[in-house]
Amino acid sequence: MNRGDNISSDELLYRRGFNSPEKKYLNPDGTATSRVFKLRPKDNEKLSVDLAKLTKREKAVVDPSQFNLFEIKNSTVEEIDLQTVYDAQYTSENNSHCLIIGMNNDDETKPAHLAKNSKKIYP
Amino acid sequence: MEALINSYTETETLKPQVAKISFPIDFQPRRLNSIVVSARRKIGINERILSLLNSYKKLNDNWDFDDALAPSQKVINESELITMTFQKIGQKIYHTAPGPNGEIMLDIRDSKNSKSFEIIIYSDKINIVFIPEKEFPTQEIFEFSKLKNYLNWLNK
Repeated sequence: MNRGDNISSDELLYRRGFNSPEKKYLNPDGTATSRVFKLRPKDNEKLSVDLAKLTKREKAVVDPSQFNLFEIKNSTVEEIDLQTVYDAQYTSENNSHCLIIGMNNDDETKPAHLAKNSKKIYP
Repeated sequence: MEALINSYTETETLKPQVAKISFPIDFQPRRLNSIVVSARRKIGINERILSLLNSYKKLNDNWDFDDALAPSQKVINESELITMTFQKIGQKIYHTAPGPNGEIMLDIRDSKNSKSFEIIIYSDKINIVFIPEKEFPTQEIFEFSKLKNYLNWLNK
């Protein structure tokens, strides 16, 4: 697989979400809020995710005491006119890194849709 | 002797000496044995949310170790105002969370937890996102004057 290649619809993606030790930043039932999938200025309208088949949950979450890992189907990403492309980060040895492209900073609907259709998988 | 007896048998009618009672709608004075005591703000259905909003005042930039901005005092004040408004009208807020751009999100859900709307407060705008049970979410600019319409959509 080469950088820039499209990720196929049947793949699974991982997205990290910050959660303090007090567990206040996710929903009370542990599901992701829309803020987990919200772009920030430094993202340049590209949301970072990992391709599940190229990593492990323990590696993708980095620090399970402060982050949770959420899984989302790439078909869910595609159904709202977004696209996932391969973006291996060779400098940080993260060869599972991908980018979801097609969102913009003003859009609140796509983060809400992605959060609603994600599920917490780790820890 | 008549005057002496009267001074022992007549009791003075005590009246509470309250110069002024002033309280907003969510303050409820208590009456204890004819003594009016001022009460702290009544515990409401969104106290957990207000407590969380208060805790966001302690956030600094980079609170998520990924360059997230801390919410400004203005954003927190607006969030508290909206939360208090919902409290006064009896609408529970399901949850709140800070976002990476200094925004605060308020999540309001229906009783079946099947649909919801999110109010997202930024320093320069407030968005509302309607999240139906099955259809794709939609968004618009939040307006206080449309609050009744928002709740009608949620609870119909």
